[in-house]
Amino acid sequence: MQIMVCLKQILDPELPPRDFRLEKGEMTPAAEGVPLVMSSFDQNALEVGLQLREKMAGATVTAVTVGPEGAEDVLRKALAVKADRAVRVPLEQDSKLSGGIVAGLLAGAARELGADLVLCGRQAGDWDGGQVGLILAEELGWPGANLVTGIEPGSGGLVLKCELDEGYEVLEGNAPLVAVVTNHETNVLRIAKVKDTMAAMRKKVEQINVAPQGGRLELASLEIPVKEVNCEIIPGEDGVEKADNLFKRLLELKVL
Amino acid sequence: MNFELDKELLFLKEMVRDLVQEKVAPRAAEIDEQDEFPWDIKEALAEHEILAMPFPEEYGGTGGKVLPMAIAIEEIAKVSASVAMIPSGQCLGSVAIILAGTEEQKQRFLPGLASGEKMCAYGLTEPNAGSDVGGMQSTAVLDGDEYIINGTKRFITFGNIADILTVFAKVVDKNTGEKKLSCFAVEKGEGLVVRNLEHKLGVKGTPTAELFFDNMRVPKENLLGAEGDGFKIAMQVLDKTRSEVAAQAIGIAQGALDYAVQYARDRVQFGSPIGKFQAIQMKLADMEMKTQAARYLTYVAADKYDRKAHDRGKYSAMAKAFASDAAMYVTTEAIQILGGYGYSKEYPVERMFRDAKIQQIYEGTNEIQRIVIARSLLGRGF
Ligand SMILES: Cc1cc2nc3c(=O)[nH]c(=O)nc-3n(C[C@H](O)[C@H](O)[C@H](O)COP(=O)(O)OP(=O)(O)OC[C@H]3O[C@@H](n4cnc5c(N)ncnc54)[C@H](O)[C@@H]3O)c2cc1C
Repeated sequence: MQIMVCLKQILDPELPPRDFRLEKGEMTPAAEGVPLVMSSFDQNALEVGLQLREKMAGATVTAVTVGPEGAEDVLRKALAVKADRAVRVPLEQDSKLSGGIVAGLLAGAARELGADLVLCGRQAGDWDGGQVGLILAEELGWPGANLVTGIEPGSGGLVLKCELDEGYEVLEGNAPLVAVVTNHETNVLRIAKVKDTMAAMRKKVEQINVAPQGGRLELASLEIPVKEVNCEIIPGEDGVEKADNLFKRLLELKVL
Repeated sequence: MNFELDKELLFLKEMVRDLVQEKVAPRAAEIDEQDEFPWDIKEALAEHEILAMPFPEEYGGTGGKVLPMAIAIEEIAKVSASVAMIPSGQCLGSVAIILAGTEEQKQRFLPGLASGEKMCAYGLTEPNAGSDVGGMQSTAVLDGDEYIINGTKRFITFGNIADILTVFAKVVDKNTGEKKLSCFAVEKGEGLVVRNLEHKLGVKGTPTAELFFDNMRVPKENLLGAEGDGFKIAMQVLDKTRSEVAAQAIGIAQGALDYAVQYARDRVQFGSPIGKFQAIQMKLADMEMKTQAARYLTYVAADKYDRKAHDRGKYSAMAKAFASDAAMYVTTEAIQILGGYGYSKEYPVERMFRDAKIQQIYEGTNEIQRIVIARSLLGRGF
């Protein structure tokens, strides 16, 4: 079983708002001098892949990212937790890419690699688009399972545990398929060990070139919303009066 | 010349940070409060091979270089100096075996230490011999195939939980009475009584012990190096590990500085964040300068050790003294920036301040480091 896990490098979502800037004609967030990390649901997908590999003799995990050379850092992180291979689909990003374009590139990589199972996070931690996984399934013509928290080898094929609003459902399917992974206490990405971490820097990152297919949606403009904060102290002798005044004020402001 | 860390080391730093955030950060205040050795964290450090870092690969370690160790220790100490002492203690207690041990001794002791299954400690200091190592009173007398060791060791970090101790004692010639300072790898057993020294100012959760050797018999093959090599070995060990003390100090300083910066942004007095007051800005600038200077001096010292530079001893002395003084300064100022809150246990800088103090004392006080540095300038005879 060839497991391909799609990993996206994003600006650290913990970045304080004051350090968030736009560049390149105000069309992309500035990435220089700010920490870049592996998108968090992608970490869950990677962990699901690693756990499945441990249960299936001969299975391999290939980490794939679409992006510039710097994006290889997320692949190295995957190598540090012992992904077998790392592949970058080169793409210089000068603007936000639509989910369709990225899905097309990943589908190209999946075909080239001969992947049987493709795992991705349910949405990227930067744009929260939530499109790539299922469009990718569509591109490949494979079934796609959503909100997967874990995958086990079953008697016939694969058993997928998926999250529902209240509880979960269990799906059975055969490869090839795409699983879109969400976070769960069972799929928190493991932390690497020292030797594997150091060795990851020396491992090879392969490249697969795929021509991007034009998406139908393009980014027209981008801006950081300006938030104004005004502080007002609600007068009142006691709690009752203050609550009353607050209520009136909220009505005035049309908050209620 | 490039003063940036290699990508490999940056990557290691990030890995250690992930580990620390998950395992250490939630426990840091508690370890200080309860003053108990954190076995769970020791296990995590072993599992992720942090405890393997002091050891060469052929004995199950990750390489034994000082610079990566320093980086890992710094990262841990940002959050908890006590936890940072676990890998540095494992290094301190084992360097004598790595440097002076025979192949057979290394095979015997090192793999168990590298895996973290066994712990070790360094027994140099005595009640009447701290800075004055040569004034040591412990003795070892050869009797058949064994040395009989007598004496007291004080302030031995992890002395109570260690399985293997590198102990210094003077071998006394039964005929001539001549004394030769020597080093032994001692496995705990009969003839050794251990007492815990409680109630330290800081680095809580890192038990410090007193060891009483009462006619303890140690096999002859546990002598490290030759009789009389003890002083040289003790100093060679510290040449290596002082950079790790320095790294701990930088971590403490950085942890306190980061906290103070955040506080200066958020705390409002007289209608503006206190970070807008020049008095606070001057403090932050001084804290940053001292921390960065200490960091680079420490990296240079660690790198010199790894490259076996002839002046590595002097550099590790400079890094240790400078970085620990910086940590004391920075943590003191961090408390000042937090005002009354800084003085409270509700905020971590008070703990960092207490943890900084020991860095100026152990592995040779900063006065002793300055003597070493000055002598390197003045030459023999001073
Ligand atoms: C928490 C903790 C952990 C420790 N862990 C270990 C350990 O694992 N293994 C170990 O062997 N030891 C350990 N030590 C001991 C530590 O290394 C000694 O305390 C230190 O070397 C100083 O020795 P001393 O306490 O006897 O002070 P002293 O040597 O008595 O010094 C007292 C003061 O006099 C100054 N002084 C001494 N001689 C001179 C001089 N010639 N010129 C100028 N000033 C001088 C010193 O700088 C100091 O200010 C630990 C100590 C502590 C507190």
